[in-house]
Amino acid sequence: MIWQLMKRNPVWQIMPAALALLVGTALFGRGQGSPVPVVALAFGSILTAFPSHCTLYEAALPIETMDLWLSQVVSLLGMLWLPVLGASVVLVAKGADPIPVLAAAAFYTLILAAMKRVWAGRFSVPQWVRWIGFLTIPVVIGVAETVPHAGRTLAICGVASAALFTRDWMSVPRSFQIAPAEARKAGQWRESGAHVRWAWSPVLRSIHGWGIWITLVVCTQMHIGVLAIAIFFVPVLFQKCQQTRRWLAPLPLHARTLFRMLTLPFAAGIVAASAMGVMIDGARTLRIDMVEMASQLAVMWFLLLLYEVIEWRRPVSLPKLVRLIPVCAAYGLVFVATIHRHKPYGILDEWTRRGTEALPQNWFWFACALAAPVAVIYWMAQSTFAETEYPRALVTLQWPAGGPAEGDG
Amino acid sequence: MTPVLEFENISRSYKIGVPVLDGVTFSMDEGEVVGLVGRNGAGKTTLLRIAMGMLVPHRGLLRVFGMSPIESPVEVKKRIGYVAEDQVLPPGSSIADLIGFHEYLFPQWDRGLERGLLDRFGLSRKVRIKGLSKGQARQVALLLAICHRPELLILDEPAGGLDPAARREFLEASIQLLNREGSAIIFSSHHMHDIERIGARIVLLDQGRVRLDMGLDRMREDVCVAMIPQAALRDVAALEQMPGCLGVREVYGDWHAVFDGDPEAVAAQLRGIGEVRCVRAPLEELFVELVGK
Amino acid sequence: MQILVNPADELPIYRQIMRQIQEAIAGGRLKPGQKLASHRDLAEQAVIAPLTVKKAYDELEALGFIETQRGLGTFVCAKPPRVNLNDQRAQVRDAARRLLAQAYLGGLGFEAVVKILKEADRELTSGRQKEAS
Repeated sequence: MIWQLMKRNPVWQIMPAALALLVGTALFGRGQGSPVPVVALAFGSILTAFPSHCTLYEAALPIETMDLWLSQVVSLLGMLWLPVLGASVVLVAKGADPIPVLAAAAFYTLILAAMKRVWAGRFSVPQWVRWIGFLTIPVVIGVAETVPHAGRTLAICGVASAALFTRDWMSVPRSFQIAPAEARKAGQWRESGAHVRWAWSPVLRSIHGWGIWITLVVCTQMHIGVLAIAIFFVPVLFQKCQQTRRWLAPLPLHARTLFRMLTLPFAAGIVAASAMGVMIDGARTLRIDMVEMASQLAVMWFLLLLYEVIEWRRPVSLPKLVRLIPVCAAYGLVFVATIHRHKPYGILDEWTRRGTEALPQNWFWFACALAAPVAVIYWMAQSTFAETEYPRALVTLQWPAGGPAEGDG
Repeated sequence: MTPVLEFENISRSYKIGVPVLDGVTFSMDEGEVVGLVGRNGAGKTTLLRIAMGMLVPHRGLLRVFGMSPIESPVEVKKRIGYVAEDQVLPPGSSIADLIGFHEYLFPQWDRGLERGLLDRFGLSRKVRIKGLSKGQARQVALLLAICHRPELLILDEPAGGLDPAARREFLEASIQLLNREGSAIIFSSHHMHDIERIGARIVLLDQGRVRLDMGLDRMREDVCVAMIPQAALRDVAALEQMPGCLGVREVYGDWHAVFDGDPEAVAAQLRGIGEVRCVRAPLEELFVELVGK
Repeated sequence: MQILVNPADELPIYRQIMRQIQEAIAGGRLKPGQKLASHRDLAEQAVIAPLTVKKAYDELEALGFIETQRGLGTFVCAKPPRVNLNDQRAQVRDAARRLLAQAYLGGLGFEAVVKILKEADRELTSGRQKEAS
């Protein structure tokens, strides 16, 4: 029974990718403990898709809840540990120390055990739990260099997660509940005021949840801005684009208005975070901070552009694998740049410094040199966004050889 | 003979002080077909989820096949088939995958019935669920719920959002199950015509209670709607107190009252009030008269 | 024979089945001794509950239109049922009243109604005559 349930767990589809990623990083990476940030990025992101304890489909089947729980825990641990063990084997073969990677995996096991405890008797987990995984990314990356006793961390996390899992195992309910067993107090959910604050507030509220802002600030402050934006924020933003487009499509909105609604708050967040960084660090690193900010904005809009290209009408006849090449290449570049650095984060550290020195000293020209590429990329991304809404190119191709007839179009 | 499903004074709230179910009592025997009707939010889905063990009632007694679905979930669910509007089959699995899984879980799987239903619905075993339309996915869900020959079939708005032909196919498959196995069916729906086709008994939920629990034929023949012009009626409360009155509703100034009785008898009873017309009504009209505004 | 039910009709479904079978017997489409579909088959064909069909069959049997022979099936009775003439008269009078009301509302006179009745009689019995010849 447990094997049958495990087979059907969708988590196993991610496992090969995670295995390839970690083994590849271990094989080709340089520097101490380089797979650790990748472990953090990979599993921190994966945990944001934390599966529910029980779906409505599973609840109607005659399966023991204990079997369901075991199959989920075994699958999640397998997804975490098999890639890490693979990477450790490679590291040992290379003669490097595998303990930091194992410690990171043990830490994520602990996080997993803790997440499983929330609302243990219910079907699904609350939204904020899914963000925990992502919030661990900067923390793990930040402390990876500085924590000296990886072995001790490994042991502590191991024991703590074993304790949490045992506690969970002993309290698996006989049947999962779709709603809390106790009725909640009336008015526990804040009901929003009746007055309208701003016409665009429903759109913003549905796209930009509060969790994104906190993580954005944390990531940019820890100098993993570009990497985090590329790996996490852009896919999430793109997915929200798709969702809101469905809702807003019948409304009389320009596509570019929608694009601005979606990305400008984000851009404002990046600028604000950079401003915060400048205030904290002082004017000493002002130029480098500005270059980093510009690069983060450019990366965000450029990746959105690449995502849109996949859905473009013109290349849509090409097989999907071919259309994915630009995006995969971009991500590959980001990863390669990361694992080839001496530091595990701050991917553009060296290049940023060199680039900043290469730019003109005069403030005016400096600002132009930064703003121009960003503006061009923004304009291209905005036009692409509009293009998929109004595919003029397709209509041209459909006209017969003699030119457009009356009434065609 | 143990009743298949027994609710006794079931109560459940989501918010303190706002009960969704407030003392629901009825039971179902083997082979009965019950249509569970009520307005949106009347508690139909809550009641059916309680029967499946997905919700714990705050008060009251619940027995499915004489057992409690919370204490012995696996024995109970082995004998139940469940189709709900919001139940989502795993999208990445193929139909053959799911059939294999269900065959493993339910030992009384009927391969002949499965082949027949696949043919009738025109589905291929190799297709993945995410490649199916909503109607086809619902048909697969019905197939998975029926082919293990359940003693009780729980349908929670199974035809929601389906076109009339798909709804008809759904009914045909359910009737086939009735014919072969004599299963009990409890069927919650807004499509009154579907309920009229296969329902034998109607349970109307209103404000958390069972407002009406009557055989369908008796409802069609012995329940009528009396239409009373505004001028004729002074005292609505007196009308509501009259024997056999099930409910009174104002419609653009006139009054419609639902009475338990023959139209001629009720017309005679109300003769004192004035110009009253009594007619029989189909289930949809009765529903609106009883629980509409 | 084919049965088509309409859930929205004023009559309950089992009465619609009864009426259609009675009309078929009256019009000669169902002959004495002819076998009727089993109630399960009819339920699947008309997409209604088998118990409803069984109820219709039971009522028709009680009225004497059809009979069930164990193991063999349900058949139309060889002899038409002995009806209570007074009951029949009252029902026909009711139907006649409704018919005349409808005709007068539509602007048709009594003579037109008589002509229509003759046409309907011809249609109803033509089936029986065709069988006989």
